[in-house]
Amino acid sequence: MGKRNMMRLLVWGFLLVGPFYLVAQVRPTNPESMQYKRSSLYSFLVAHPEAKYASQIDYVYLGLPTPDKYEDHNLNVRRVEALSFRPVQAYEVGGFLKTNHVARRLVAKWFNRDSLGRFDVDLVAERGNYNATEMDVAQAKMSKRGLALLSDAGEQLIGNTFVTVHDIVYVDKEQQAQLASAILQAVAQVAMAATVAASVDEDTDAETISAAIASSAALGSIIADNLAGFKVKVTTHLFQLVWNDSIANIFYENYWVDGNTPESERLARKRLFEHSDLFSLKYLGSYKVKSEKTVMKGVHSNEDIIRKVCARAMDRNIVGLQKKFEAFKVKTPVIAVENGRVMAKIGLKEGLKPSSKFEVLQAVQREDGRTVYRRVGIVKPQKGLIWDNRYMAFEELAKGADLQMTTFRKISGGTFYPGMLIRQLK
Amino acid sequence: MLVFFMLSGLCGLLQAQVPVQYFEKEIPVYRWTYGGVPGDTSDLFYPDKEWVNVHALVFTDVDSMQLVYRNVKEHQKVVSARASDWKRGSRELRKLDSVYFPPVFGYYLYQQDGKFGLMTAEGTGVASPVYDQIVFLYQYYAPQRQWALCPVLLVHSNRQYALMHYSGFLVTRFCKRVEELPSAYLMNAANGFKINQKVEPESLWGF
Repeated sequence: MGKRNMMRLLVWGFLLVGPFYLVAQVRPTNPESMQYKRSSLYSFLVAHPEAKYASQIDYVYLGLPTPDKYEDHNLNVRRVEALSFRPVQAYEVGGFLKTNHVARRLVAKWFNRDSLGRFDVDLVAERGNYNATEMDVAQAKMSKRGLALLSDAGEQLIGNTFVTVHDIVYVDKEQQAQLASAILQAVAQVAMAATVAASVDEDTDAETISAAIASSAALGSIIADNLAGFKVKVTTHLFQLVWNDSIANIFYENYWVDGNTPESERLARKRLFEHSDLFSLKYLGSYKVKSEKTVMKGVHSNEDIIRKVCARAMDRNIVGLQKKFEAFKVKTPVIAVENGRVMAKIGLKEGLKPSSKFEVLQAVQREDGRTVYRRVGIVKPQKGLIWDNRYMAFEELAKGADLQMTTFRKISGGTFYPGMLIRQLK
Repeated sequence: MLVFFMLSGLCGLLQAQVPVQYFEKEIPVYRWTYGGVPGDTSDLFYPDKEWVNVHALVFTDVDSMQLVYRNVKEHQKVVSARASDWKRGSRELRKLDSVYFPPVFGYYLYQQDGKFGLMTAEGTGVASPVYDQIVFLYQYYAPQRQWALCPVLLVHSNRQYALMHYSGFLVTRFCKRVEELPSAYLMNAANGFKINQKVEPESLWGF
C-alpha cells in the first residue's frame, strides 16, 4: 500500500469514525440548567395529632422539599388535622379542597395574584420558558401566536397542576411486638418445663431439643422487644386542576386584572374572581403503602429515621400514582448520551427496574409557539447501572447510590441527544 | 477490710456520678418575641430583654441532682445509658431500634465531658451530649399575628446556634448569630385546622 493510499485510508477513517467519536464524548449536561416543562405540585399533610409521633411527623414532613421532578406550587396551608386516628377518606379531602376553594387559589398562584387582585404571567413564563412579553395577556389575546402561547401554557403547565394529600398514620408496632414477646416467653417457659421433665427421665435428646427451643424462644423475645421500630402507613390522594380553553377564556375575559385595568373594573373583576366557582379539582385516585423495614446504616438521629421512613413511603406512593395515572407521569431530561446509551437523573426513587420501559421524546416547538412531543425511541434501564436515589440511600451505602444517574440501553429508535426527554411507559 | 472496700466502692460510685440537672428548673428561661411584620414568617427572632429582666426566672438551686437520683436504680439506669448509647466516635445507635419520644417536657439535662445533652428519667437519650449550651424558649403565641412558636430549645455548639424541637430534632441549620436562625420551624396558624373546617381568615392561604 502506497503512502497516498495510506493517507486516503486515514482521512476516510476519520470521516467515518470521527462523528461517532464526537457523539460518544458528549459531556453530561447540568440537569439544573435544563429547561423543560415540569408538572406543578401542591402537597399537604393530613396529621393525626392524637397519634404517637404526630409532632415528629409534622416537623419531618414540613421540612421535606418538593420532589425535584415537580415545580413547587405549595400554598401556605401544608398541614390539616384529621378528625380521628383512622386515615381520612378521599371525599373528606375533596370536601376540604372545595370548601376552601383550593383550585381558585392554585390559579391565583399561577398568575401571582396580589392583594389588589392584579395578575401577571411571570411565573407562567418562567416555568414554561416563554417570552414574558409575548405572553402579555392583553397583547396575546389579539394575535394568533399569542393565543397559541396562552393555550400552550394552559395545556402544558396550568393543566398539569396536581395536589397530593399525604395521610401518614403511625403503625404502633410496640403493641404487636409486646404480644409477640409474650407468646415467645410462654413458649420458652413451656420448653424449660419440658427440659426439666426430660432431665428427670434422662432422655438426653429430648433435653437438648427442649433446651434449644427454650434458648431460641428466649432470644426471640429479646428480638421481638426490639422490633418496635418506626413504621407508617401512607395514603396519598391525588387531584388535578381542571383547566381547559373554555375556562381559560372566561378567566382572561372576565377575571383578568392588571396594571392597565380601570379602577372600577378592577374592583368588579376582583369580586367576581373571589366568588367564582369556575375552578375545580378532579379526583384522580389514591394509593396506599406501608413503609418498608428501615435500614439503620447511615442513620444518626431519631429525626433521620422518621424522615427516611416517611420520605421513602411518600416517594413510593408518588411512583404508584404515576403508574396508575398517565397525566401524573413525569418527563426527565436526558443529560448525556454515550455510545448510544442514554443517561438520566432518575432511579430507584422513581421505581426503576431493569424491566421498566421508557419512551424517548423530542420536544418540538411549532411555528405558532405550541410545544409537541414526538417519540423517537424506546430505552430500558441497564441492569446493574440503576441509580439508587432513594432518600438517604447514599448514607446507607446502598448499592448504586454513588452512580448519580441511571444508564439506559436502546431498544429501538435513532440517535438520541442530551436535552431529549424520557417518560415511563406502562 | 470489707468496710474499706465498701467505702472505696461508694467513693468510686460518687465520683462516677454525672452532673445531671433537672432540665426545666436549671435552664434559664427566656421569652423571645417575633421581630418581623405580621404574617411574614421569614423574619428573625430577637430576645425581649425587658421581659427577661422583669419575668425571667433564674434558678440557683445546686442540689437539683437529687431530682434525678431519687434512688440507686434510677442512677444506674442513667449511668448505663451513658455508657451504652452515647459513644460519639463509633457510636452504635441501638436505642434507635425502638424510637422513643417522651411526649412532654420533663427531660434531664446532663453533662458529659463538658457538653450538654438531654435524656429522660429512664436514661433514654433525647439529644446527644454535643452542645455547649441548651436553652429553653417558651412557647409564644400571638393570635393577632396568626402564628405560634412551638416549644423549642436553643442549642449552642462550636460558637453556632440552632433551634431544637423538644423531641431532640434540630429544626434549623446552625447559624453564627441567633438573629440568622431561619423560622422554618414555625407552626403557622394556617396549619392548625381540621379537615372539616374552613381555613380563615382567607389571608392564611397566601393566595
